[in-house]
Amino acid sequence: MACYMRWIVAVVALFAATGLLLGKDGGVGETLSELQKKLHIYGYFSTRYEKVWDEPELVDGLIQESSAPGEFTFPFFSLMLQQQFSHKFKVFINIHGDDFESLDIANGWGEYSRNRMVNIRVGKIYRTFGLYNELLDAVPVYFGIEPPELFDGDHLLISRTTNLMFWGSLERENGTLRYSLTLDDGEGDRDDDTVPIGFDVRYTFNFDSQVIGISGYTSGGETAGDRGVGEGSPDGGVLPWMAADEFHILGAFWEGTFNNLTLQAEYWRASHDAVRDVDAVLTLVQDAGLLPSQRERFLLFPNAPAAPANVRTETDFDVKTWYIRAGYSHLTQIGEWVPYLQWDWYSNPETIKNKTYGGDNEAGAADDGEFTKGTVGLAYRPNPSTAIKVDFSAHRYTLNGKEVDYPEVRVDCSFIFGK
Amino acid sequence: MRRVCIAWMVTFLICLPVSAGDFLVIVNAGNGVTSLSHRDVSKLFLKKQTTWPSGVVVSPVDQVESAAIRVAFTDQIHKRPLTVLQKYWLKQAFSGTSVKPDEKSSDSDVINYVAENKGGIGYVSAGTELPDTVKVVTLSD
Repeated sequence: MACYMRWIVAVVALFAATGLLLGKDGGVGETLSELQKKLHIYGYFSTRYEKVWDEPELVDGLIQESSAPGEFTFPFFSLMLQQQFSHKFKVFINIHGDDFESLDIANGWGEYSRNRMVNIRVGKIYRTFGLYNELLDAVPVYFGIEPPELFDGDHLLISRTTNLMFWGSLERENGTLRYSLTLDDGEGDRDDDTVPIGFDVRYTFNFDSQVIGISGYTSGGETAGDRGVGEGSPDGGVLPWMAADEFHILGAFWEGTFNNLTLQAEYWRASHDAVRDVDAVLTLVQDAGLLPSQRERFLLFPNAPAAPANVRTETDFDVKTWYIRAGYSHLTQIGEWVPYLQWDWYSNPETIKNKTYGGDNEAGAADDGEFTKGTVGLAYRPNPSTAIKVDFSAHRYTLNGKEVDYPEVRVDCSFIFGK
Repeated sequence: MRRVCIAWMVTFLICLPVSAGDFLVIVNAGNGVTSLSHRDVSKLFLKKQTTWPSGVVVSPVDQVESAAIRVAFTDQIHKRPLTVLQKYWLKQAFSGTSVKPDEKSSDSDVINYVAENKGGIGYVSAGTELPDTVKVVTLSD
């Protein structure tokens, strides 16, 4: 996989360099009117209710089911500011708030545009990666409530942000070719000679009728996670109990719009070559409530006491996921109705369930780290700024050798403001 | 009876959607461009082309979404329903890529905007009296 990654990155870099050398400057010296320079302020508010029933859990070798109380997520919001200072320079800031208690700069970057083929973005940037990453904060925009599993905050395949991005586009007769090349500091502690690189190449047919592309990332060498064991889920793809992890991600995506029907599909694979940290693994084994299959994975002799000499440190594993989604837009006098179906599959044979220790309670709840999630939902937009969504999901996985499942319902209301 | 017929005809005409040829695409009088294809106009309004051949920055101006002329323009130039365009601009805005063009609520506001911006481009109802500060561009397929 690393070999393919080098080739793809080289081709994308060549494309960018060609634009830099050959592309003409756009609007040299052109000043913008005061109207064009105006600050655009916009964003959205959202609130959510979710409830899970009969979630299976292994207690003393027996499967027991429990229902969590329904949970309201108080309003969270994104406030975005975009300003074009000249034809070549602009800034974008995305302030994210939860419960009106904490504020976070999710995004903040400046961009220099040499021409359409070469733009340079610096700051904290959502990397171009698949269909969703750049739009993930904009829940009202997409037809489902939840992001695809690869960007579920509990089990990210990759960090969502990067620090330096070259991107550009080339207009063709029937669409637009777009590329991006990203560089950043990686996930956590990394060796001096590692250079994390990401890329994305996509072709958008006219009027966004179809989008097809590939994205990828390489850690460029060994790195460690950004969180330690006991500090919660990582913000990237490296699990907290890894002393070192070299990984590569490659994926493909497609979206097609046919009249009122929108179809989406993505496939992703992250190949990890990692070394577990002995002390971290011992903490997991003693405190994180592992399944028997997970204990077998971490220890050379699962029935023997947890001790440094008993820890299995070397591990190679692949995290894989795919999904298909379909939504049908039906316009009526009272607004737009969008029934939708989604099918997600996710597999991470290395993770655990306990989120406090960096696991996730979906893949980590399964013996083999695999689960599927089927979703049926309905979005209603009385106007383009307001979205009300209701969906029902069923998780299915193997626990203690038995197929188990549990249902979940979610309701989401969101409102877009500003322009 | 005649009054009823006239009332029906007026109602019918009001409800009739704006059709092909019912709008004129206008640019600033100082712009050297005289004709554009439908595809060119679409790219200019979607901000996929941001400069004129002269290097002047393009400043598209739309009519408000509730205007019949906006629906007709979207249908004939972009060849997509308005809802698709609304989602396109939301995606552009939320990803920080761009923001939708300014919107004006009347032909005269559009004319004023185009007249005041060297790179301005807009559309107005066919038959609208135009000042010397703007000019019509011919559309080709």
